[in-house]
Parts: sequence; C-alpha cells; structure tokens
Amino acid sequence: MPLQELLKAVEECRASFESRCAEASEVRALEEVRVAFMGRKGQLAGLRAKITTLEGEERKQFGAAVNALQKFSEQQLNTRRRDMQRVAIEAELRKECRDIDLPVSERNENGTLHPVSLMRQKLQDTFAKLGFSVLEGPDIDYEDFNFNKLNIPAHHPARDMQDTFYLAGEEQAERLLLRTHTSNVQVHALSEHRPPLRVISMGRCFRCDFDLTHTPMFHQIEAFVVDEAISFAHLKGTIDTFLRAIYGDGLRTRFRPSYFPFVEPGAEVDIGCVACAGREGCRVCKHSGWLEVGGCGMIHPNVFEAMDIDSERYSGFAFGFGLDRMAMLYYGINDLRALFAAPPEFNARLPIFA
Amino acid sequence: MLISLEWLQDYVDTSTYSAAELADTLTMLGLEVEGVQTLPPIDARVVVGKVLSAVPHPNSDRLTLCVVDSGEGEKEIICGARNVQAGMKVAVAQPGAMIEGRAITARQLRGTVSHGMICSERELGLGDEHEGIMPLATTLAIGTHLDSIFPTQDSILNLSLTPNRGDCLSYLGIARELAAKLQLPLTSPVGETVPYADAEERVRVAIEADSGCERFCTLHAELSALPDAPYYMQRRLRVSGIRPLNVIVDITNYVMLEYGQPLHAYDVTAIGGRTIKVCKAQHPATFTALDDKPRQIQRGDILICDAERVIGLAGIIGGANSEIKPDTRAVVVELANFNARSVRKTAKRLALHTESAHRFERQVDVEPLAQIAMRTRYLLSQSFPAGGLLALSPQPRDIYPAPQPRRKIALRLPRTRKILGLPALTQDNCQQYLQRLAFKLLDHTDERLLWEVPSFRHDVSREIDLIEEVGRLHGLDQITSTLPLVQQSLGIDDALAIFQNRLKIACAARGLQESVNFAMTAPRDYSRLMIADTHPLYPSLHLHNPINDQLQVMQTTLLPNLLRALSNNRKHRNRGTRMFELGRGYFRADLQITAQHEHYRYLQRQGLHVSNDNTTARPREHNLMAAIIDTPYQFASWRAQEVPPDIYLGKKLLLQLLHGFGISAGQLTIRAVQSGDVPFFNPFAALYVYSDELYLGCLGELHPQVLGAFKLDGKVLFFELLSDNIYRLAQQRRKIGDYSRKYPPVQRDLAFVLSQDVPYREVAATLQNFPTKKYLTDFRLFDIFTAATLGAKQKSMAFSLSFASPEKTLTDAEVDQEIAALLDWMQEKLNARLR
Repeated sequence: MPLQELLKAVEECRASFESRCAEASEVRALEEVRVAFMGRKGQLAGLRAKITTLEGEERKQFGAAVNALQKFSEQQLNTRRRDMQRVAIEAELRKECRDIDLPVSERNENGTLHPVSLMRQKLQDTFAKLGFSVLEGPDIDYEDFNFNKLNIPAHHPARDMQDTFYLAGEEQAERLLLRTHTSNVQVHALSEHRPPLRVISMGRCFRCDFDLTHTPMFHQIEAFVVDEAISFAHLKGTIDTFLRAIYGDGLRTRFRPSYFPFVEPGAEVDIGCVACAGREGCRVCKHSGWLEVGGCGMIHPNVFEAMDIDSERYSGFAFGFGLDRMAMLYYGINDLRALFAAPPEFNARLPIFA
Repeated sequence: MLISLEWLQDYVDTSTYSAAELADTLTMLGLEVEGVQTLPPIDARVVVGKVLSAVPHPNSDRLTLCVVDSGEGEKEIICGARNVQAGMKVAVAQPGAMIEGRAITARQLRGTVSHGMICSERELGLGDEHEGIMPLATTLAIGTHLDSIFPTQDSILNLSLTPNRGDCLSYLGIARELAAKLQLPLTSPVGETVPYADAEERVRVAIEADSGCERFCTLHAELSALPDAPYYMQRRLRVSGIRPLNVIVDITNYVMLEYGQPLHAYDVTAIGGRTIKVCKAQHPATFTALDDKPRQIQRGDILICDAERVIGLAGIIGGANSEIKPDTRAVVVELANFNARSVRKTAKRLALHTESAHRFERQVDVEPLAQIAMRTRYLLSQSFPAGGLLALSPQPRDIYPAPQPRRKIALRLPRTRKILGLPALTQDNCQQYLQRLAFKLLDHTDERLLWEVPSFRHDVSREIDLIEEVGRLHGLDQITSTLPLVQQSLGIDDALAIFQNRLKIACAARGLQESVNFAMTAPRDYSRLMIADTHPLYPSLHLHNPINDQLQVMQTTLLPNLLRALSNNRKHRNRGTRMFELGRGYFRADLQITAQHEHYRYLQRQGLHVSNDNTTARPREHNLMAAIIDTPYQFASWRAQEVPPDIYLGKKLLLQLLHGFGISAGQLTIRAVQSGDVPFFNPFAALYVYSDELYLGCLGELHPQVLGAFKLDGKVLFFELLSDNIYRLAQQRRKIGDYSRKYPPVQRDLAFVLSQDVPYREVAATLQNFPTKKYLTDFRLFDIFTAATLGAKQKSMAFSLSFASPEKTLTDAEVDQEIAALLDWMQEKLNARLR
C-alpha cells in the first residue's frame, strides 16, 4: 500500500478511537476500547505490522505516525479512566457531605490570658526596646524597704496615703508587711547593683482597701533609671514614649506636680481620656477629659543616700503605674471586678497575645 | 478641703478668672482640685417666714402641718422634717420658686394643700445638711428675701491636698499659691486693734518642759449672751464644710480655715484652779471628749489640764468638761502649736481624725500665732450684737519659750537646670519664682543663691525642695520630653520574670484560661482541703489587720482560691472550666519540716527574691504555676461523648507543656504521692514529677471529700508546679543530636498476658533492659484489657515493637530470632506469656 493510504488509515484509526473513547461511559466500556485498539490483535497492532512493508524515509515517516498514535491513545485512555474513577469516588463522597456550619469548639477549650498579663506583655516588649531590664521583688517585705528607705519614716502622714497590711505576730525589730507598691524593687535593685540602671518591675501590691474602685491586691509597674545627668525631661520623654506605644501616637499627657516622698520633683501623670479622646468629657474621665494613670518623679536624694549612692553624681527618675487600670483602659473594661476571679464567659473574650 | 471663691476674694482678687480656670491653675500647681460645685443664688421667691403653729398631719405619721406667716398672710405648709416647731423662723419657698431645679407649686398632700415648702440647708444651696429644715435667727423680719441675707452666688472648689502641703490647708495658703502663680497681690486679713473693755486674765498657762508644745497664746473674752455668728460667717463655714454652732466656736473655726491654725475655746468657769497646764501624760487614764465618747489616754500623749483634770487632748479635741455651753459667759481661747508626731500618734491610735489633728499632723506655722490671735480678737470684737461682748483681752498672752530660726538653703542654678532638664532657665526666672512664693534671697554669687525659707513651708528642707518649687512655678508642662542617652548593655534581667510570661503563654496555648486571685485566703479553706495545722502547707503567715474573714492568711498553694473560683463558676452553671494561675505560695522562714513530711524539705531551700539579704528571717515566696480542670474535660457534642478529666489527661497536658520548654519525658521521673503528703488528692490518682532529685510539682485528681467540702461533685483535676525549678530545667542547654536517616524499621505487635499487679513501669523497664537486645529500638503500649478468659488476676498488655539496625534492612528471620529471645526474657522476668 502506498504511504499516503497508510497515513490515511492511521488518521482514520485515530478518529475512530476518539469517537469510541468519547462514547465509553464506564470503565468496562473503556477497557473494551483499549483491547480493540491497543490489544495484541487490535487496530494499532495491525497498522504496526504494515511498517515492514515500507523502506527508507517512508518507513521512518509511517513508523513515527503509528508511534504518535499509540502515545496519544494511551494518554487518552489514562485521562478518561482517571476522570471516570474520580466521578465514581465523588459520587460515594457526596453521600457523606459535611455541614461546614456545624459548631465544633466549646468555650472551655480556648486558652486565654488575663488582661493584666496581656498588658505586661506589651509593656515588657516596649521597655525592652528602650533598654530596660526586668526585675522581680518580694511581695512580703520589711517596713524598711517599703517605707523607711523610700523617705517615708514611721509616723509620717504620707503613710496614710497607703493603707498597709502588716503580718501578725512578728516580734522582730522590723515589721514585715505586704508591699504597698512595687517601689521596694527600687531599694533592692539599688542595693544589689551599681548605676547605671534601667529597670522595670511588675507585680502584685496590697493595700487595705476594698470597694468598687479598689481591691486589696492589685498590680503595678515600676520603672526607674539611674545614671549621670538624668533629668525630668528624660522622665517625661520615657513616659510619653511608652504611653504612646501602648495607647497610640496621638495620646496627650499631662504632668502635674504632686507628692510622693521618694521622688522630688514629683508629679502625677494624666492621659487624655481614651474613651472620649479628652474633648467632651465622659463618665470614664468624670467629665475632666483626663485620666490619672500613675505617679512619677526624680528619685529623692534621701533615697540615694539611704542606699549609699552619691546623689551629687547620680540622678534618676522613677515612676509607678497601675497595671489593672492601664489594662482596663486599654481593653475598655468598665468594672474592676472583671480582673479578679472573673467568670469564664468574660475570660473567654480575651486573647493569648497582646 | 472645700474653698469658697467668694471667701477667697478677701485675700486675692481672682475675679477675672473663672472657677474652672482657677481649678486648673491650682491643679497644675500640685494642689489637685477634684471638683467644682457652683452654688446658684437663692431664688427671689424664698423668704423668711414664721411658723405660727405646727401639729402632726392628721393623715400621716411623718408629716407636720404648719401654719406659716411669710408676709402674705397665714398659709398652711406641710413639712416632712422633724425639727420644725412653732415659733421658729424658717426659709419658705413660695409657689413658683425653683428649688434644686424643680418648681415649687401649691399642691395637695394627703388631703391638705401645701402652699410652698420649708427649706433645708441643702435645698437652699447653703450646705449639705438635709436632715431637717434650716432654722433662721428669730430676729429676722418676716418676708425678708433670703438672697439678701445670703447674698452671693458662689463656687466651691474641692481640693485634695497631699500631706506635704499643710500650709495650704487654709484660705490664705490657697490664696498665696494663686497669687504667686497668677502674679496677683495678696491681702492680709484685717487684724486691727479695736479698743474694748479689758477682760480679766482669769486663767494662767504653764507649759511643762518637753511637753511637745512649742507656743501657747490665750485670749480672754466675757459675754452677756452666746448668740449665733453673723450670717456671712455662718454661710462661709457651711459652704466650707463646717456646721455653725455659736459665735465663739464659729470664730475659732473661721480663723482656723483662714490661717490653718487650729483654735480651741474653753469655758473659763470649768477650768479648775484658774490654771491651764500643757504636759505629757504620765500614766493611762480615761478622757471624755467633746463628742461625749470616752477615750483612753496613754503615756506620752500631750494633754491640756487644769489644776485637777484633763480638759483637752492637745491639738486633737477638747474635753466635754470645759466646752462652750449656751450659758458660757467667760471664755478663754487657745492658739497653740503642738508637735506633729505626737499629735499624729495619739490621733491615729484613737482614730480621732479631727480638723485640728489633720493640720497639726502636717505641721502648723508657729511664727504668726500672735498675729492670728489679734485677728481672732478683731473678729470677736466685730461679731456680737451691741452689748453682747462685755470685755476682751487687749493683747494675747503669748508663751513662746524657744523661737525657731528660719531655715536657709542654697540653690545652685546649674544643678537646677540639670535636674529639671531646663537648660535655658535663667537666674532671673528662679529669683522671681521663689520670691513670689515668699522665699527671701539672702545672698548670691556665681549662680549660687542663698534663700531663707518662709516659716510656713515645713516641706522645704533641702536644695531639691527649692528645685521642685522652681519647676512647679515654671510649669512641668514647659519641660521638653527627651529620651535619655544610654550606654548599651545586656542589663540585669531576672530571667525568671521573663520565663514566667512564657509559661503563661504556654498554658494558654494548651487551652487553659488564666485566673488571677488574691494571694490571701482563709484558714478554714485549708481544713476543707484536709490540711492539718501540723502540715507544712498549713498557712503560717497571718495578717495583723485582715480586711475580712476570707483574706486572713497568705496562701501556701493556689488551690483554695482556684477551687473557690471553680465552685463559683459551677454556681453560675459554668461547668468544664480549665483555669491556670501563676502566683506565689508564702511560708515562714523558720518553717519546721518533720521527718513525716520530708517531701516538703524544698520549701526551706528556695523562694527568696532578694539576693543580698543575709537575714534568713525573710518569708519564702515560692513561684507556683497551678491549673484546675473541671469536669467535663470535653463536653458531649454531636460528634463525641463527654470526657471527664482524669489523671492521664492531666499527665499528658503536663508532659506537653514541659516538652514545649525542651523538657522531654525521658528527663522526668514520675513517683507516686506518699499517703498523707498531699491530703487533698485522691490517694490512688496522684503523682509527683521529678527530674532526678529536682522536684517539679504534683498532679492528681482531687479527693472526693475535698470536692464535697467545696460543694462540688464529679472529677476535678489539679496540678501545681514550681516555676523556678521548671525554669532551671528549661534553661539547660541541650544537644538535639545528629540527623541521619536509618534503614526502615520492622514493626511487630505482641500482646503479653501477665499478672495484674505488675505496673507499667516494670514492664517498660523489662523491655528496655532486655539483655540480648540487638534491634529493638522502640515500643508503644496500645492496649490493656482484662478478661476472665485470660485467667484470674491477669491482664493483657499489647505493644507495638519497632526493630531496626543502623547498618541494614532487617530480615524476618533476624526479627523472629530477637522476638523469641525477648519472649523468653519476659517469661523469665515477669512471668509474662504471649497471648
């Protein structure tokens, strides 16, 4: 047979294969197609037998056409078979279709952190960038560390500013108490390390006060810097920076003179109300536009001297902020009771990362 | 302290400033104004009326039916106050008047029409009194408009002063500060000498040495009657928070508010032996104060005595025995100065927080006493109706044994600039600020200024105090925020503090909710936990002044408060809570550990949070991490059954938690809790976790009896770890080891039948220590069961065993050979046979 006719036969074979493939609607029919075309006695084998009847270029050309058809048919069959299998499997899968809206998690399974812990994370990150170290101190301390060395002698009216829990039955010269502020860490740090120092400390404090806005246990952050040439401008810079890192760049701050025996000059720090932005005044800021968030000041020379540090060479600042209040303002929590033994429905709303 | 702006104008003219501006100025000076109250003028329809009759309302137990003449005929008015009586002059709000924002109308009350209202102090905006109606002087003419008697509208500033500024507990003190900041002139109160008949000096004063009295002035006055004080004075006292009583007491209070100097007036006839003696108490005694309550005097209290008895607690309160009474006709007024510390000690002990004690505790200026006495004399001379005051001391009798010199302090300008961070501050600035605050410049050279401190500024004793004054007047808001330049270093972190934050995140990431509880608890909670008072966990640190029964002792474990929280949750129908807490357990330093509780020896070793304190008396504070897991662990859902928490779930949670910190199960030793060591656990479902000899913590199911005591049922799981010890393990540097891909292992499952008494620990050890082991690399227990078919007291434990070699892929024959040897070994050691 001349080459042209043989090549035409290959094309016819391809066309007939394609149409039969398309007709086959199940795996068994497809198998029949395969046997008819690709089997030992199939159409392709018939064509292949004709190769030897040709010579030279013609033989080469016809052989290539048969090979191409063979490859094409194999691919076609594989594709069709996979498609059929998928359809069959998915028909099975459809029988167990999932309702993706079904509830899957229970409230008790979500871990959460306490608002104060979340605030601690944020503060620790911020102060780490500013080069502060983190220290901890004892919750129970001597009067000396909580008061005397901080320039608050016994029988000073300033002691009334902090209603103190004392421990019972101590017949020692020095009374033990539950620290009323984290400032005792200042005393411990200054007696254990020499300046320069940049320290924050966060922890529990205790005062004999229990009402809507006070709990006998609460949390504070204490920060202090001692170095040569530390000024009130640095105090303001540090406080402005960390408060804006927490509450946003636009935050306004106000430093108004106040009195804490261990600092001088001393000041209270107010921030523009985070609820009404300080413009119109609201219930949160008692219509003043300002919220009191902490106390600060330059470390009193008497404190340095009590720690055998030369107050002419070194100066420093210190500040203490209420963590509970900071967290409440940040998360818009309106009731202090939410911070102690809060019910799970409240806790469940909290995240793990600040 | 309450400051009336109307009164304040006597000393400084601030009329060009609004009340809000003044409040802001004071606040920014460090004298915090907590609130401003505006008192409106009294409505023109409020007039003086006379109560002609007052009888109980026929249809009410509480109401009184009054007939009142208020200049427009007799009208019936119904009054709810108890103090209304016929004959009184009262303030009558006629129909149409606005009182406290509402209009008064003639209206029917229980069947009778009330033609207006009789007003209380508060309703008139004259004070806080609202218990009864406000009685007016009987001399006032009926129909007089109240706003002509109490003429002004006023604003009241409520100041919250810090304890260092005793000098500002007065109108003059506040005026001084405003004058300094606003650069206004200050006017002194009138103290001119008005000629009067001389009063006889009927009482002599003696001050004992070391009595704590610095100075003592007296004024005598003789009266023909004891009238009320003038209305302006009464009003000013009222709006400043003090109840008017009579002209004498009112003047003493008025002067106290004006100058901050407490005064006291005695009835001369009650002073025995015509002598006042100031002395320290030598022995305990009882004293009845003005408020008619007996008070216990102790050795060292400063006393005011007459010849026989105590007539006053110096600087705190006078005695009932010598107080001014309606029939008092001869008066001696005391103006004195007492030691701040002594007054504070006595006042605090007796919980007598009087206006006087409040001022003396904060130190009162001793210098102007004579001047204040003359002011008092002037007010006495001006405040009686004609003929009311018969005689007056021409001069105070003044005993001032040791006048005190004023302090002198140098201020260095370079240091002032450096501390405040105000490099451009000039000498002129500083001089102006301090001079405006009444400091006197004595000398200056080379930017060093020597100042004399005014006598009223007890808070100024060092250079830093002067620097603060400069900063205060300059304005702290004028200082530019700057971050300090720092020398970089790694710092001095307490690694444990940071570790504890990570521990919290790890717990939360394992599905636990953080709970924060007070560190105090009640001893009775420990009996509920079955912890006897001889047990090391029984609280040993008691509060001297607990705030309530529940917060009496420092906790030793976080369990009681977590259990309470859990119990509370259950009460609110919240089951299945999983909580954790990081807190501390507090113990006495000298905690005794008996041989019986050897386990708790660790309590004596750690828990100090200061490194350089060599006293061992400090209580120990152990950092604890505890979790409590309620039932159910998993709720029943459309896809799973309810799962209760048990010790296995807890153990898994614990191991996963520790694994996160690089602590592998292989490093840990699990030991059974010795009976009695941890009484709150189910003794058959509790364990200790150790790493070698390092104690990490305990875990267990709570004892049903403990749960019962907290009104709980079902299973509850608890564990408590020592955070510090976990940190010690976690921070050990560990090698993760080589990475090499092995030949694939061969796995075989084998089930052994052995006695039920053999614990898993022994089975695992036997597998582990198989002596001819060549290829066994790992085993995993996947099933345990018991059945009658296995034989009495027998159980089956099924293991999946892995066999591998680093050199080759194992053949079945090689594995079979090893298994045969293993079976012999198991038979020999545990009498275990293959099922």
